[in-house]
Amino acid sequence: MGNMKPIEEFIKAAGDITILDKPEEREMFSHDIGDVPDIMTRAFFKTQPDFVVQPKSVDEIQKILEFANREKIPVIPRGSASWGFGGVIPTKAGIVVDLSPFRKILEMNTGNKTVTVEAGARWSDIDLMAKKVGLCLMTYPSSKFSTVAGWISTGGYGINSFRYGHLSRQIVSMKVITGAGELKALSPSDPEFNFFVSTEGELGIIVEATLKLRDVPEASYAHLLYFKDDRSAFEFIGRFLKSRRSENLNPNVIRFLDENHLNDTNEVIRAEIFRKSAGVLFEFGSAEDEERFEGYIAKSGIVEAAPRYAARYLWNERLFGMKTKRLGPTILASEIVIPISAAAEFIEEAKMLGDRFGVEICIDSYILDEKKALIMATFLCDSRKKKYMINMPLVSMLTQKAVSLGAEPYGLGLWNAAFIDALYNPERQRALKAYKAKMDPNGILNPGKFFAVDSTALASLVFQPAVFRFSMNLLTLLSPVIGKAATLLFGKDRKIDHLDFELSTHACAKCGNCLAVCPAYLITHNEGVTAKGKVALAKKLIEGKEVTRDEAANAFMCMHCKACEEICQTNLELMRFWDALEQRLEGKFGRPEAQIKEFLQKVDKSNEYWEMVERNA
Amino acid sequence: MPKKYHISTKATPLDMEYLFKFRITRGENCINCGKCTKVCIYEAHKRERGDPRKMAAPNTAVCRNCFRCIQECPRGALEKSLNQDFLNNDGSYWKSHMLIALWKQAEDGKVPVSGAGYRGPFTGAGFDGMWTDMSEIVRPTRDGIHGREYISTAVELGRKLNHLSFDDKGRLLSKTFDTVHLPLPLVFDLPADNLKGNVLAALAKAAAEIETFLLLPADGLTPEMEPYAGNIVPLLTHQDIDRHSAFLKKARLAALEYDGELLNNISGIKDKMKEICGAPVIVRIQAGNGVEDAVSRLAQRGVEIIHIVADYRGMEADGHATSPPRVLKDIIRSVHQRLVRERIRDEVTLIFSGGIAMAEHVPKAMICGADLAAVDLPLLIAMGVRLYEEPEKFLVFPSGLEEIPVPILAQRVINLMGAWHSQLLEVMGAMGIREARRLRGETGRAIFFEEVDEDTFGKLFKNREAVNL
Repeated sequence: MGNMKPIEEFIKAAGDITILDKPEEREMFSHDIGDVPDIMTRAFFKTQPDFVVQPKSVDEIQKILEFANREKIPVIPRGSASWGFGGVIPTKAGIVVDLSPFRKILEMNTGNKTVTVEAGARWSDIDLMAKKVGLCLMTYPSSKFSTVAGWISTGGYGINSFRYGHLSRQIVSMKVITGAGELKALSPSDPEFNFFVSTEGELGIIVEATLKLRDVPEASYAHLLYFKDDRSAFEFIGRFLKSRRSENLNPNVIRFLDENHLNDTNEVIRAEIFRKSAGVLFEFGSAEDEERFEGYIAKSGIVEAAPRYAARYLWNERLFGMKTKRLGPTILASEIVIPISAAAEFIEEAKMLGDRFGVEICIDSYILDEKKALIMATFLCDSRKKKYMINMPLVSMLTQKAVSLGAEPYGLGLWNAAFIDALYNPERQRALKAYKAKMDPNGILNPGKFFAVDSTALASLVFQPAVFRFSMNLLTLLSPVIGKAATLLFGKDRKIDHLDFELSTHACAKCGNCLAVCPAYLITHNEGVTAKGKVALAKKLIEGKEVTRDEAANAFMCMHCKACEEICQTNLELMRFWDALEQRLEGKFGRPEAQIKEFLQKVDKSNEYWEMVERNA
Repeated sequence: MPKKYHISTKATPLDMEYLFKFRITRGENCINCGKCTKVCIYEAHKRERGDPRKMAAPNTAVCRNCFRCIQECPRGALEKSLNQDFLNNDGSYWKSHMLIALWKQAEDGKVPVSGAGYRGPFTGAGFDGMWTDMSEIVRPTRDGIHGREYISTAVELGRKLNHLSFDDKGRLLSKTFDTVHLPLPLVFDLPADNLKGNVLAALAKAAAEIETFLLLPADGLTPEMEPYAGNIVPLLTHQDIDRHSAFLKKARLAALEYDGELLNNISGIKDKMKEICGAPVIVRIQAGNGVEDAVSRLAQRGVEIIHIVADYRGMEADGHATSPPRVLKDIIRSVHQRLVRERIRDEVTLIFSGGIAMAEHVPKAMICGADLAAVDLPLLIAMGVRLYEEPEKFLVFPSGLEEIPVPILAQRVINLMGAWHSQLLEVMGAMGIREARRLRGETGRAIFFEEVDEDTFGKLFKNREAVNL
């Protein structure tokens, strides 16, 4: 595009679509929750979008695509960016389509028990609305504040997937705009339907979905069982799954947590609630289900159960998967879907590998069905340290290890793109490519991801599946030496006990939970005013980067409602953080009194704001 | 129609925190939405001045207990509790709510409402056990205040004859006595000893402005009180008459402390006073056992005004050994009845004081038989003084009181009296009485709870209770 001026062109074509084009705004849309150093992304890709648009209608999205097709500019659809594998990171600049303000809940049908929503609707909002009429979501992602289209486009496994299956089974229909700009209404029976599921917006932009809902269950019954090691826990899970039908056992959720995970949970809450041993968490929706389960446990004898309050606590923490990040302040994760039969072996190998790199591997696993488990292998480290450069490839080594044991990567994005062969067989890949060529002839939709990693010569080399596989295998092979050397040289990754101002900026998971609850964001549609945006601003301040007066003013557009602090994954002490940040900014730029006043008036006049206040009442 | 008596009130807030009933606390879970600022009509909730994004701490003192903010807060972040101070301040007679009501009346001369309905007391000891007959309440009672109806609250101090005699030529034979006109049936009694100069001056100034008097020990008369001399009643013992003759000369009323000697030499003492000033003389006597006898004797010996003083809780100073001390209501009735029986009630003006705490106590005291009342402690409460009964009577003066200018303190006292005057008009209007003098001894226009209780249930229950005992 070089000599073109896309924004001016676009404004001419598009009318009154909200456009964000300030450098700091563009920067905000150049990454997701992953902690990938700028140097690394910039070496491979052009991650800064040319500009960001926030469409409010299908018509506007079509206009964007029309323009992009004409100008051959990449278009990157984006939800809440709460998944860390780079799926929403631009690789060749272009237009980021931020769908999170496109979030209306269009129709709640109590007769059919369905809900129709716009792409950017958040799972949490849908659940809240549904509960008012006695319904609730069937499954939802652990980042419940993420968007509907976001989860459809990525993994699709989450809470209750064991009971109700993959998200695609709960979609009644959806509307998609293809890369070429054609609006398609699809239902699961359409052969094309699956092309738009988990394909990260590379074939089309999902704009509307109708989802199945269920009746609100009578209650939630959580049980946590302890096992002496990971292997015996998975053996138990295996036995349980075998006798599930004959015993009529109907858990909503079966979740495995290793001793490191339970121990970190203890550390975060500074209490010895959980035993340091492997655990399996079950959740049931009715008293009968629970009773049968208790009967089954009694029969099986040897199993040891945690107190009910501990099980319930763990259950309630399911939406805050990254809570332990505050011990990091960085958390790296490998997510794979693996045969249950291979799970224990993978965990053992993963821990051995982690050991060599001086990190502690934590395992959090959701059982998906009789055969498969989703495993999140995470470890804490510190992105500010040199050792981080050694820590990062460990993620891919872990994924590679799992793949070698028969696993599939849980999504590809940018960083897992090299594992495409493990996810799609050659035939499926051919089909996808053919369909892509039809739907997105100009190749403008989310380019540079798994279809064609060819941004730069360097990237194509590194992310070329064969090369990547080889190098990861080699690294794993050499890990006893490299890992040990790195650990010797840089020391082990120790857990952090206390977060100061600077550490808090690193501990922020960028998960975007705060966006969902932030009244200032509701009014301004500006991520810069949210906790996530302000933490990023603080980080810039600390790093000595240039901060504009407008950016500084963003930090003051705050109701001090504490919603961000309440919802924060990593339990950051945000209210104190804001005081410190405001003080620093005030010293530099003064206090934007007039803007604050104007902001407060705007909030006060906004019906949307008062609806939010009442909704959370 | 004579010119209407009017007390000019003016909002005069004091910059100090006074006792309040409810403490509203803002919880940590407040989201600063500002809903409370919209729903509170008393402005208890405001945003912070310095940082308007945050809510300021609630201004509890203005809360009238409507519960609206509590109900409307979307987070349930507001909590209301009874202020511990409010509970601690409650005495057996002087209740915290009285102090607050007096304080508020002094702020602007308006009569505060109690918020969520009137919760009594519907009966109790003393004046609380007395219900005035408001059968005339059918018409707007504010007429008395706002002018469509003329209600006089004036009283005369001094001897009034039962009848006048004329000779056959129609000339007046009776010797008439000088009286002092008061537009309000109230005088100020000195509420405490050792008051600061500005407080004393404010009391005297207020008395002057509403055309009443302040009783003040003659020893305490300083040159700065000089401008108000016409509204000060010097109070002295009969032994000190000569010493204070200079001041007595200017006085329109004078007061003498009662003692046995005074009673015995009363005619001599009165002559001596007449020589000096000629003003009507008040004899001030403690309300105790046998006060009726003393009052009767004083009246018979020609004393024209008698001021009977109960203690600060409106009780006899020295009760009967065997029964609990009588309360002011009963003392007034007893003294009044005694003089009525002796047919000398009109020869004398009776002032009662001690425990006159609320506006309604004035008409109630009059219904019981007082010509007027004297008010004491409420005058200080109007200035921010707090009164504790436990462990003993104790006044807490607000810090910085001595710095407050006289006109401000005086205006607060005037405001308080303005509020009392309005309430007196309301009661009289509701009773259909247009002359305050007609209230005196009108016990037929009131219901005394104990009597009704006895009449109705006495025969039924009293015996049985006695048997059970």
